[in-house]
Amino acid sequence: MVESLLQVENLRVWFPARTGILAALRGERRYVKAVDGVSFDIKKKEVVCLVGESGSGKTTVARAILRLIEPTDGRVLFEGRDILSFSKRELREWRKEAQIIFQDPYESLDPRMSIYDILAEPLRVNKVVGNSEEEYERITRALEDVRLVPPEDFMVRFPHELSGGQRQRVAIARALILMPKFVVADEPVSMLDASIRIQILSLMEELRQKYGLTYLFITHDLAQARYTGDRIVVMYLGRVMEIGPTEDVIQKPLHPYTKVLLSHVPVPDPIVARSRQKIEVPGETPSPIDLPPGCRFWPRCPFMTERCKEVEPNLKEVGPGRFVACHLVS
Amino acid sequence: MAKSPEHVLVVEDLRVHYDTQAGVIKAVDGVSFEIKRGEIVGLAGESGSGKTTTALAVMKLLPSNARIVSGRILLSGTDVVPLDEDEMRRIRWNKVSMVFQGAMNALNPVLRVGDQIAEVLIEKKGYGKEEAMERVRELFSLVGIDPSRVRDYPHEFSGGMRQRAIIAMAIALNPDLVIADEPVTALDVVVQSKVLELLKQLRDKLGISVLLITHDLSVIAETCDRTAIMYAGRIVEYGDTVELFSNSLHPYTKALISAFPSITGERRTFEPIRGDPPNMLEVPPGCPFHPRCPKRFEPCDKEEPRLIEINPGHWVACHLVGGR
Amino acid sequence: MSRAAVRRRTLFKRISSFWQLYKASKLGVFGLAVMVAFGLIAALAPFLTPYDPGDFVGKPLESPSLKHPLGTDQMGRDLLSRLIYGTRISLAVGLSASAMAVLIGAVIGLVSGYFGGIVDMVLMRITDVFIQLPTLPLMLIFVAILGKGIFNIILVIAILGWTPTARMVRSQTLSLKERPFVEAARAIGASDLHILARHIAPNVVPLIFANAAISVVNAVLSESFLSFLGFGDPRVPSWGMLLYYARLAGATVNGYWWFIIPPGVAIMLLALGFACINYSLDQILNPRLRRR
Repeated sequence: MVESLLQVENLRVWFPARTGILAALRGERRYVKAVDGVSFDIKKKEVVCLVGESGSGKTTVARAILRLIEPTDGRVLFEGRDILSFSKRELREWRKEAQIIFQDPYESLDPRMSIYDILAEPLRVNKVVGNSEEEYERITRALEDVRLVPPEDFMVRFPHELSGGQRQRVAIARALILMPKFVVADEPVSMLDASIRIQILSLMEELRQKYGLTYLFITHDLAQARYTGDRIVVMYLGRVMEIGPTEDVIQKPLHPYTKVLLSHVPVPDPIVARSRQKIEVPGETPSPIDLPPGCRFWPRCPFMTERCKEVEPNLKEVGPGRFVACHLVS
Repeated sequence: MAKSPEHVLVVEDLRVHYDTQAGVIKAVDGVSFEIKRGEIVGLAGESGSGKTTTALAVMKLLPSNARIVSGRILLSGTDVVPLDEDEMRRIRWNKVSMVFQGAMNALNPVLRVGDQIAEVLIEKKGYGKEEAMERVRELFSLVGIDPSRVRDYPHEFSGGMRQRAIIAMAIALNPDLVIADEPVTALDVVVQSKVLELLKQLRDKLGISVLLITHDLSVIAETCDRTAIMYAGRIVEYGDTVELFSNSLHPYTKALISAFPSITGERRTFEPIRGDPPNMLEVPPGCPFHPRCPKRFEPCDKEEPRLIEINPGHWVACHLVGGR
Repeated sequence: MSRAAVRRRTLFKRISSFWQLYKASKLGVFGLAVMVAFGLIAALAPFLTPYDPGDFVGKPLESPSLKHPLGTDQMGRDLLSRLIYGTRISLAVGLSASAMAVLIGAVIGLVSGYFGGIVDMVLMRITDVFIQLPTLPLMLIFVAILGKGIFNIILVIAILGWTPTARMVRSQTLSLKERPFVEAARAIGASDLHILARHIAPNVVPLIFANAAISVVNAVLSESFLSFLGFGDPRVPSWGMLLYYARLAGATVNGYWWFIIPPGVAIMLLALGFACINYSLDQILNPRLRRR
């Protein structure tokens, strides 16, 4: 039984929304419930893909797990310890074990810092190295790890001298230089060209195996999730709709939302694209303020029943490792 | 390639160069293709391939440091390359219109959506205010927006609706051709699917042709009748979409298709393409793809392969295929 | 290679790439040349002046001659020497007052923009008050109270001149704060102070320099104005003081052009030079930030 590295329990992240004057006087508060009761776990050395569209809350979950945004409620257990109750000192210590790779290769590196300094920063901030030789050594190895060679060449460059793919490699090197156990990757390749994406994804996989890392991938691209993830967690409007092993969820989706998504995901095969049936759904994803009671998906669900409008379904285990939040699935 | 009035667009050996501080960039270097009436043609490629430049050239909306060096662009039979700005203004929106990348965010936030579209009708065709609004309501129905929402402001529309409004603006004057540059990139999956469906409907119901520019091959597969794959300012493969995907001949096409994971079919492992996209200031000699090509051989770094029709309607520019 | 070598190379790269950008602007190079020229004159003043600027060496109000190329003032002091020495004063005042003003403004802007909340509100209200103050009358009052003296003048210019920098730095900080690389720094465990010093400040420095250049113009002109009105330090031969003495001697009425024109031209040239520097720094700033 592989143990969990990370357990998310009933995570909530609510942002206060603007209320009208009258409502405020009455003491009513409105919230954007970006994340509203999310639970899932990640096992050691696993790759979990958190999949969702805009407004699903997936990016907020990623940041809340790392406490880059403060959660409103819930627990996040890392190797059994509740990181939400860490003191400032414990939090700083823990940061060495959990890192993040951001989506935008053009913005996540400080344009005024050399690549050397960008990679040195995590080491210096955490006082991990004693002298400049050691620092130089580690940075050289980090660059070699991400195949930016010769390292002496790349360390004196500045971000604007690198291509998108190269910058993302630097971002990966920065995330790994502290030897973390856990890495969150927030849409790491969505801003890169197609031919570069698989380079970066396979590099990440290679490094995962080499260092025994655990990944949480955030993505809106189900097709990408299929190729990178061991398990998929599908989110919609701040809640988890379905969890399961990747191939299982893709081939035999149980939740209506997952089914709808899969039927609409574009496929790079014109014959399949023209012959398949897309499940018709109205409208677009509403905003997470003022949600109606019941299941979040019922206004757009082709299979909805009366019960769906009233009672919000909980995430139930319907098979080994298979979880669904839907009244129609038992 | 035959030219006839049934072609809404014919591009012949187009070359567009950019003058920059660092040197001359041959963004489009000998591109030829055509679009028939009622057809959706895709121009696929990564960043720097020259696809957006091609689109801007057709609309004569290139930035000031770009120039059309040679070639012809025939819009419904008329070559627009020698036309001046005044003449182009008469053609734009009437014969050809464009949905720019990120256009849905370029709607003026302080004007009502209906008014913004009506403006096109009033300015370009001299419609009266009432007449224009009538037509806007009609357009809204065509693109799937509730006609009663003509008086809404852009922020009251969702992303998908804004994109539909932009498309409504583009078809307002019944152009022969709509150029859509990455029309669905920032949209959610279901919305994306619906907007693409809309483009297909416009083709079927109104006979409008579309030049769809995107880096996303899945979007191409879903929507385009015929497709051209661009690399380093050239077309490397071109033909019927189904034929292109099932029988890709150019190594880049094959590599690009396999770079797009799919939810259908076998779960494969990837083989990344070596190297980086070309530096357009120093395009490799011969075939621009040769440094990254797993199949390269003797002539590839010396001679540039020409675009040859291998099978009827299927063109490839590769030394491996069709000889020299 | 070593870390030290990396440092050297990256520093060299930064300087040379900046210079590449800067020298593209002819105005900027002109401004720089002016600044360097005045700097040299100021540094070498003792070697360039034929007479001591305070000595009474000639007949009063002599018009230009070989002995006194710019003539003499009403006390018989050689005007050329006074003009050359005045370079020192004007540059010193300009640079130090501007440096102080920009420093105060930058700190306030950084703290206000980064920490937000109450701190921001308080600091911004204070800034608003200072913006409202009528600078010139206040300067006159300050000097009247504190007494004439070159240091007082510098102080006064600095105290009343920091607001534009504060606002610009604050707004730049506000936008920098939200950029992904700042979030990335938090993710690796950086403290607020580290982020401010290592990420925000360096990205604001170019803006600060552009501001500083304009601030120098303001300082030089303010000092000239104060001195001209008679609030300057009579012991120092700043260009403004020269104009003051010129006014006292009725130079305009009596046609002593050699008295008025040289200091006026000097002030104008210095101001123009720094304005050009500011212009080209501004130009560099904008496209730079958008570069990919």
